Amino acid sequence: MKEELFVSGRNIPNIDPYLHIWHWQIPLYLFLGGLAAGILFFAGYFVVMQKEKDMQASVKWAPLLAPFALALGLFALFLDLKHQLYFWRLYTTVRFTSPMSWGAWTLMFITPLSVIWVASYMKEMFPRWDWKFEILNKFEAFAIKYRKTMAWTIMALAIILGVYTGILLSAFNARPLWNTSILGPLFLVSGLSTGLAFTMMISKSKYERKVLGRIDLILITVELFLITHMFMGFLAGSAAKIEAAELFLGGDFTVTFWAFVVVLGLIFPAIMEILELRGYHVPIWIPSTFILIGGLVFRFVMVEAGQITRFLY
Amino acid sequence: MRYAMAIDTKKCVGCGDCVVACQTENNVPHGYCRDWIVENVSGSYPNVEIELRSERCNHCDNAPCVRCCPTGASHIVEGGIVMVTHNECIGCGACIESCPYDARYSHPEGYVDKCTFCKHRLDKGQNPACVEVCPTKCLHFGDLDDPNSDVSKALKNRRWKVLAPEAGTKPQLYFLT
Amino acid sequence: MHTFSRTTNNPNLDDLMDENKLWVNPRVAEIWGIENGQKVWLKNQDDVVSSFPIKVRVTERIRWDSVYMVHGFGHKEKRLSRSYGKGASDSELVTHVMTDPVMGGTGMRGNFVTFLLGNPKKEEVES
Repeated sequence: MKEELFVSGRNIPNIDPYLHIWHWQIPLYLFLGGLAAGILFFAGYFVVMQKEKDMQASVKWAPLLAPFALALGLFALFLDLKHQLYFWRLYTTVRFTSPMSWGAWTLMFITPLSVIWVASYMKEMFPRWDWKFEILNKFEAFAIKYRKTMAWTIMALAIILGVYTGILLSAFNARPLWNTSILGPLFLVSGLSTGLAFTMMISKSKYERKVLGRIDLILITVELFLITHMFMGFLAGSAAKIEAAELFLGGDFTVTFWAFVVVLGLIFPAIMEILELRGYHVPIWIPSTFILIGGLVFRFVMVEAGQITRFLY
Repeated sequence: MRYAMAIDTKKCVGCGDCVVACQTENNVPHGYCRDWIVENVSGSYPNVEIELRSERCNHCDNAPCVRCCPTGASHIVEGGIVMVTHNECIGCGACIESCPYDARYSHPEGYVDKCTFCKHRLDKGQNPACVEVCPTKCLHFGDLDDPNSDVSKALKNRRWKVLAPEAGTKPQLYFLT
Repeated sequence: MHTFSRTTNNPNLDDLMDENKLWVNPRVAEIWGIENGQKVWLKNQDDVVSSFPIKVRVTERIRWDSVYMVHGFGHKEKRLSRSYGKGASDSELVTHVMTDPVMGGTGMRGNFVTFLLGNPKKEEVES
């Protein structure tokens, strides 16, 4: 028998018996960040592709949610901070090695940009909208003029944001479950997919839903592929990684992950979307809601499970 | 200059003096600790081997906590000591997540706190509090670059290991086995 | 870590060790079906039962025919706010003290204990 234990009575709050320093705030923040990244990416994409007329929901209506999602996500992140009055320290320095610094700065740029994006479409969405001040009208004209540049910038920032939500976790080599570079692309694809799901839900045009549905199907396939790949990587890895994977392959998180994330969050909506494309009538909110819930559960599971995995003790 | 510590796992009796000395020296709040003792038992009775390790922050050469810190509050000072500037720390918890040794904790006042190798004592030319009080003299502290330091001499003549070398952090706590 | 039974209420030392544990060899634990961390009561050869339960630590550090616990826990005085009722007291189980006829030294290791897996007080109330 082998045993290893603390004999000096170590029992630090949130650290022993296992790490739990990040609560619900971080996974919620990651989810909202991914959702906003997905919405904004496709808004920019369809503007660049000059499909604005056909893709009303993606370009105009869905981005309405993005600033709110980002603000709410940032608020959740703020709640997570333990030394809140010093949060401004994030913006006194740029640290390239720290994903959290990357994230803070990306959000610093993409949040105002998303507000400008929405503002530039305000008059198209609400014909009786009036900016009241002349300077705001001028600014709107300026924003509309450079919309394409804005679209490119927003796409780039959205990808950084989406990847960042995964890299934030994968940068920690102390947590074997997180420490896999596939987490960046995986979170990006999952974020794009949740963004699309939201857009599909509010879209009124049949054509738009069909196009988005097709893209979403591709994303779901890629996501399933990445998840398989992630587990293959774990099982071919070091002892700590195998132990981490076993949390999902028979361990405490097996049911939550495979039932709620993979089956209900990915495979079921994919089947629904295939049926829809084949011509069966499926209420659009069903796959969309399941994708959104699946994405949220996925982030909660990853954050919770990742904190349990470790090298020592 | 490279401060390091060597812990004699054969001499340690697990009394916990280092833990209490640290708590009183550094005003560690009640219920928290910057160092702790791990007992590792292997084999089966009557052939049992026991290893007692007094552990603390490893002051890694490749410190993941410093890499992950978004504000630069975690930094490395001369001698390779990893320090936290309290009024730069935002308490995001990234460094706590990044430490394979779970050596950091969130201080009730919000900032992150950890072992400093008693920097304030080193500046005065004294040893860290834990080293000073150890009744079996099983903690060896000093400068690795100086061949005559306590730690260099301890490492020269003994077999040693470090914890979780696979995490790639290049820890500077050596456990004499 | 502690000095006899006197320091168990000291906040710093209570932090280090707040209760004692009963060391049991894995083989013995298997026979009794005791798990690591399970609470048991102890009864000695004179039917004296410990006032408080004690958590088991299954470990190879102890032989098959003995159990071990640190001395100084299981205080019955409620004003010892931190240490009251934590762990069990070995001295209340030492009812058989042998005296060396020549030197007058005492031997307290002639006591034998057995495990009670259920709460003895509860059982009495029920029966």
